[in-house]
Amino acid sequence: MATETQPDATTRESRRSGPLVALTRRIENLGETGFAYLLLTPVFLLLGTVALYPLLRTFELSLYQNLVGIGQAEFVGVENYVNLFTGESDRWLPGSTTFLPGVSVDGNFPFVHLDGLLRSALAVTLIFTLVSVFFETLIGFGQALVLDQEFRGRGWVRAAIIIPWAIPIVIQGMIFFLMFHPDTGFLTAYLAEWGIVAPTNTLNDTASALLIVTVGDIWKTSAFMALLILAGLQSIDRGLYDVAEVAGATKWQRFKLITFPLILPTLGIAILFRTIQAMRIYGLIDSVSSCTVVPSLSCMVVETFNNQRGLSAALAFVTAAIIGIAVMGVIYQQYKSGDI
Amino acid sequence: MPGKQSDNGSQVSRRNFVKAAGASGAAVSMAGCIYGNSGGGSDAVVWGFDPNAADEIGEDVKQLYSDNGVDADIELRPGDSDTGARRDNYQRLLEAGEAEPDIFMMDSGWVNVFIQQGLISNLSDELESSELQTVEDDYFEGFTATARDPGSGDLFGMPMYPDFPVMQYNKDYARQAGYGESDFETWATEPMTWKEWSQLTAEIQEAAGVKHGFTTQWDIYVGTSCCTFNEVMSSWGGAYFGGRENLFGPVGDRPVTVNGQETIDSLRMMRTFVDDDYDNALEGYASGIAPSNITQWTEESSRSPMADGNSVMHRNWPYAIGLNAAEDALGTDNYGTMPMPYAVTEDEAAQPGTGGTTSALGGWHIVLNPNSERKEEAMEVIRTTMKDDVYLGLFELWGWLPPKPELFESDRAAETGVVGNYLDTIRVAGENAMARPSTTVWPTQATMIAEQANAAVAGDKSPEQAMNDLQSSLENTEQQ
Repeated sequence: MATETQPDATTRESRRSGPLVALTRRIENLGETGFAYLLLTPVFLLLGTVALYPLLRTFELSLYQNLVGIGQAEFVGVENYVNLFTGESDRWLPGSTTFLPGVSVDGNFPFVHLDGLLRSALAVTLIFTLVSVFFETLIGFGQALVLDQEFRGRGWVRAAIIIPWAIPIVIQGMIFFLMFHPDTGFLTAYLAEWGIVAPTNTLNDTASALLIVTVGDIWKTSAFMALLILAGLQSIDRGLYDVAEVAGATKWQRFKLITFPLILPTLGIAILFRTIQAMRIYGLIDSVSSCTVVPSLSCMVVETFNNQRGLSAALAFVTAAIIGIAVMGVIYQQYKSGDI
Repeated sequence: MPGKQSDNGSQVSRRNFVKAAGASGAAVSMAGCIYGNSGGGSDAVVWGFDPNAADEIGEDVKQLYSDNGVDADIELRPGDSDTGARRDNYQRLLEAGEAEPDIFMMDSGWVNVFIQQGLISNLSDELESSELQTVEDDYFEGFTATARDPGSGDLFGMPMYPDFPVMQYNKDYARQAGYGESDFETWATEPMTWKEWSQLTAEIQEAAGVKHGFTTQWDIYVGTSCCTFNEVMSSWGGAYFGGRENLFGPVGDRPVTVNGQETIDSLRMMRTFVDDDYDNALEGYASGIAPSNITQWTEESSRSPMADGNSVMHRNWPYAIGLNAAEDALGTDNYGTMPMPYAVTEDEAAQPGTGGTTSALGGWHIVLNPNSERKEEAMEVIRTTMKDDVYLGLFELWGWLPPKPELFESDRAAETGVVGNYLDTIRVAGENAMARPSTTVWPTQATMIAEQANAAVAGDKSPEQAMNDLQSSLENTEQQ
């Protein structure tokens, strides 16, 4: 009597054949790294579609003129970029805005003079980015150091600090708009006495409005920096402080030799995130003042979109390129210090 | 071994993981397909409409059209409450070839831009010649002109309602200065010069002890370029592009004339109104009657002081009459209107077609989406709009002025709501309306104009400097 043996599951599967089975086997036999990349492939494809394609399409659009309205779009190569950097396109920017500030050189100190600095979209964006990110980092660091301490009510303080971050941009913009509006504002008179803002037409004065927008951004986003930095602070091994204390290190030495070097990678990432966001500033400007008064690069993209789409695309691509350069700079720093 | 285990001992095999991921992906894709196919489906004519009116009187509007013979259902789709955002949205919809909305309410200031971009249907091809003749003969021509292609004269928008700003004033304060009903009757239709008007305003302000003499809008926004500055400049005989005939182009072949003395003087006058200590004040004009806040005010922010009894005079659109003169506000007995003052007569004007009392031309048209899949029903709605009963019905429902002068004369209009009491003044304003120079470059030019006009009145620049700067900016945009 013949004896039938029941094949186990593995044997049953191994008898199957066909492309699907071959593919499955191939996947099963991949190494850990290979399998990880395989799993990441859909993400890369998705990112490529949602991030890279629009960027390439924007670049393509920036090579054309007459994209809006009747008639054929005209391929002009890099003319939109040339016009942007030579000032030829300034006439399409809102109000008296220019892309670059006027630069003149003469024998008078400091020899190189910048004219209309606050009318330049590039200069305004860079000034806003540098000032806001600097103060947000400083304040955020301070807040994080405080929150890193054990004290009663720490949870409440944390919640209080995060409130500005939770407020939508338009509401935040309206708060600052109303604080300086001639009918409802209460701050203009006090600050104007010190010459900090213009006494009248405050929200239409570029220097005043840029200051208000920058302060508004710092108020909101310092909490974001604080939370990121706090996460970094809490990942530092507390034993290091105990050792330092035993060794007789002062508070400053502990900060300089332990906290700061170990928090630096986190700080770099936090600054990177904020720089990217600050370079794209638009909503706050639009709700507090207007793009004509505070001309940022993103403002220019929006303002030219419906009339000069090729120029708008060129502006968007240049903005993306500047952000890309800033990102690469931070990543290179991290790479050099061995953090990635 | 049933499958590879991870180091932490998870029992999920790679095979099961891939199966689960595949199944999830398929489910998500199916959900996407199902969602993607669920749009549309209604047979109603979709009408891009005013958001406030759609909310408040939407059902009444539908009933009005139904009563006047529209068989098709109408869906009122509210646009953005910010008109600039609404324009941008409509431009994107039309550029993308979307079939809905089938018809749009479109600001008279945008229509020419959409015509030049080839985004809206030519109604001259859709309407009967008799209907086109009716529009030609019976409508405010100045308003209808903003719905025509300046090159061909073809009609691209059916006039829905025009809007003409007027000078509004508090009669109660005027009475305290010794003026009476016979004066109010004269003021309602006979425009004053700016000089007379400013002295009158200062006199009433002083007699009644009111905070502000005059409130208006002079912020950096399109309302200053299209309207307040356009009015003041025109009433001084100035123009952006050499007079009325060049309003709609041809771009590049028309002179830029904003640095003329008449335009500079119009800004000096406004600066005189704002600044008591202005070194270059115009002689004979009352100074300091307007607050410096006007350089940050738009329609609503400038209306509040008038509604609160803190201003003698107020320049605004008819909607402000409806609100300020309502019985639960100042009331019609205490609220008066007059045509906008002027500085020079038409004969004395430096630029052709300007001078005399001038009101900016606002208002909305109805345009047809060329991609509409319900063109016939959409045209039925547009044709029905032309009926007098519909125009008067819209006036009754929401205060939208009829675009036909003869309807202003009707008893029904005079008896309608609060605004019906002020039709005499509004008619004068309509007869002396000045459109904005709406071309493809206007959106860019409007921001330049508002910025410089604002700087001049705020005292950040002299009127001469501001207008010289504006002259060169406008010349650059004209060279396309």
